[in-house]
Amino acid sequence: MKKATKRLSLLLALVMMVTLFTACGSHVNTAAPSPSSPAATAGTAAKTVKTLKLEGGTDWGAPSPFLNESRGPGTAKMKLVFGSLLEKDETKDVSWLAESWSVSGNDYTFTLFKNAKFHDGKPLTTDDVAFSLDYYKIHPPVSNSLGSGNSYIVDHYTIIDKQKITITVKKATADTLSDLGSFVIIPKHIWEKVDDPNKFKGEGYLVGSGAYKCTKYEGATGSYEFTAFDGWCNGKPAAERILFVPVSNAMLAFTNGEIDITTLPADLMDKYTKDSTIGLVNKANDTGYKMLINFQKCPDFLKLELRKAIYSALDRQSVVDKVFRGAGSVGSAGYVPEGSIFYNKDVVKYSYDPAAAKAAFSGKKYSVTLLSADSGSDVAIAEIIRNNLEAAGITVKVAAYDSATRDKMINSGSYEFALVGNGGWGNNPPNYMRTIFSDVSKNKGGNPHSMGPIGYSNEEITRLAEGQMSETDFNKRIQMFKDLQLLVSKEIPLFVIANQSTYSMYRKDYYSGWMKTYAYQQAEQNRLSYMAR
Amino acid sequence: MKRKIVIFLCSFIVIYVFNFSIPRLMPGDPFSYSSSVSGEDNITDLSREQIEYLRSYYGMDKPFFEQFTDMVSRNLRGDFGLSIHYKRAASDILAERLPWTLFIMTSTLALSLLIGSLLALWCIRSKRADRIVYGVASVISEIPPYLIAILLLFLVAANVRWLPLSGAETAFGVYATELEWIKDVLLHALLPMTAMCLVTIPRFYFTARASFLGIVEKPYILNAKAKGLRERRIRWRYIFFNGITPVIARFFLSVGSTVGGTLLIENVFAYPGLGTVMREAVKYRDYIMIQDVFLLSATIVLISMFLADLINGLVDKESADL
Repeated sequence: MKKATKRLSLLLALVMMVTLFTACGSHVNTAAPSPSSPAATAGTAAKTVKTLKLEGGTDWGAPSPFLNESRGPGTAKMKLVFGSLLEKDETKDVSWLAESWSVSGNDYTFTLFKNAKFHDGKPLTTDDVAFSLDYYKIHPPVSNSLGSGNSYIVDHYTIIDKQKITITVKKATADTLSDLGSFVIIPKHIWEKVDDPNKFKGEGYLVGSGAYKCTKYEGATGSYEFTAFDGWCNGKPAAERILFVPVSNAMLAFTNGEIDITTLPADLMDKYTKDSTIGLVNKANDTGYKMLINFQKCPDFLKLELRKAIYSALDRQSVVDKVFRGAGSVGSAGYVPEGSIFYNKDVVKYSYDPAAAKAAFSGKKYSVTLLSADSGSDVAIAEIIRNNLEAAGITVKVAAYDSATRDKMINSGSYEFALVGNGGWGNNPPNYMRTIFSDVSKNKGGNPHSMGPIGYSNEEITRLAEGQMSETDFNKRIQMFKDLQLLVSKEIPLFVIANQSTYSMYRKDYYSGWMKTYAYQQAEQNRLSYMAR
Repeated sequence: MKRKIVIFLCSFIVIYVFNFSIPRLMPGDPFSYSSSVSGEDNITDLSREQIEYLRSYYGMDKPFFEQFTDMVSRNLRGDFGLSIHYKRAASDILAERLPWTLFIMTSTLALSLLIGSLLALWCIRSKRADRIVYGVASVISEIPPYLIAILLLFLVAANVRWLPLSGAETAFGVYATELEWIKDVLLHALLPMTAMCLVTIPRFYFTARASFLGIVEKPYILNAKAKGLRERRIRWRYIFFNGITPVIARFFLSVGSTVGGTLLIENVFAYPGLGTVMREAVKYRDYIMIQDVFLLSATIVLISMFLADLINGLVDKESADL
């Protein structure tokens, strides 16, 4: 017996040692630069710093166009490494790898910077642009603005010289310039030998064309290191290194100086807004919640007066106060949130009027199920809606599922009423207004955020939602969006509950280059946030 | 023995089939999941054509049974598939993460075995100590480890600057020697291991206490005392060594619950083990990763149960001999 015990003890000790040293062998890194305390190179409030540290800890994939995760943090890291022809700033499209461009009908001509080069020092020419177009046609990347199959937007291209290329699209729309400006350029000399980009992790797979090189990526720890590319052709990177480090709690990490920017919880607003050393980026009304009705299952609600009565029944301000802790606003009935350049302040405004709602639903005895996700603020908002609608005389049962299940049910139309919440409402409204409201374009993809009202159609809404795509005059296009919002607010194809604002806070005296683009509010994910401007 | 091996293999086959089927029967889809929270909202909308391309690329356009036979054939060749979410070989991801989870798990169990057994050995001498330890252990053992982990994070780590809040090692750290790295790793493991140990030590304490108390009443202990052997010798040579076997069996039996606890704790401390992989695989419906990570965890638990069974067999044999 003693022998058996001794052997077991030895076995146990052996397992522990093997475990520890297996980890040891694969994780010691003596080549990486040492962790340095943040220090500005040019005094306080400098435009350039040695190191910027951000929250990591999640594996968003390798920053290759084919291996990054398809969500914001994954795409943003890839775009630090791989450059596109154009970029967006606060108000317009600006140059990135292309120093100039022109548009003539379906022809888009781009002129590359003469000194553009890849991270391995090889020149970046129009051959690489053309190769990227051809390659993406066969192998669509994760973030794909060019479309695929029949929806591939490029008809052909003409290489004029090493710097100049004309790309001819099948049909020019208002978004074509942005779409052509967004695809990232990959080096022909590396990728021309690669048959399966989804598995390629060979030499040069992270040789990019962007302002930063990826010098370290550790999936297991969600750690990334990006180093400024000294051969970058368009401006100066703001940090010598950008580090994404694992944190357990971002607020604690920010307080301890482990990271330089983080999300500010609404409950701590007072504390930090009084601190003069703290700067804020307001992602105004960027997250929004809407309620969809499946009119095929609930045809009675096709009557406009009942939809108006639902708006009257909903105490949407209580969602802002109780759930968002005051950080947000009641949703615009026209859908586009306040703060966007496309917002129409003249949309119809529906106020909370429980008595009117009760009168409208009196004696109707409706009973519905409200589908909701079981995460985030969704259940809390669903319960407020349930209480409001029950007070008006509609019996409501809340059915909460995990997000993936909720998505599947919404995509397949398996709901009566559904609450959908998502970020990105402050993004470019043209991208979502058409896919939500146009009878021609809605309910086509796999994204519940783009799902429009099922069983509801409106010719005028469709005309405006589709027509804006062909309008290349920016001001006229904005007006079309305003008209569309006004119509949506009058017709109520869906109910906009509320928008939540979030804030990123950073130390002003260390680095203050964080910015939002006109199309995207996440400052930490905009590559211009990492450029000295 | 043969019977045990057959049961072990049958259990493995059932788990293998379940691991393949359950993710595919779950509602949701790896290609159409696009719910976002603020900060993740720049989601690439996949067109129907792209989704069809990806389905075909990952072999998910094939009938259910064909997918299963493909997987069996691949697995037999040592290919555990390509993760849909991470876009890397699932085996590479598991190989990176498993050592960290095993490290926390085995260290926790070994420490708990040691401390729990010593506590029990001490308590069988002192009734007062036994009363106190028994009461405290009863309460602590019922608290979920992740709750203890959160409390440790906010009450201890947030106020003690030298304790790392997250990760398994200093991010981008450079170490002059292996020893320096081991120190860093141990420091990072301190909080996750403490959270786990606080829950697992009572379990070992209860098992050891029961075993030691059973031995204290054996005639040979009375005989040893009558012979005038020293107290220390009786405690270690007679009680501890003869009573430790069920505690070692408890080690292997605890692997299942420790795997579960460790995976949750890893999420609290952003520890780079299997926990975060499992959470993300389920969240994003990464079928390949779900089946591989669950298969691996289940295999670890099965092997532990098998070993525990063998040890319990030894105990039964020993009891029969006595």
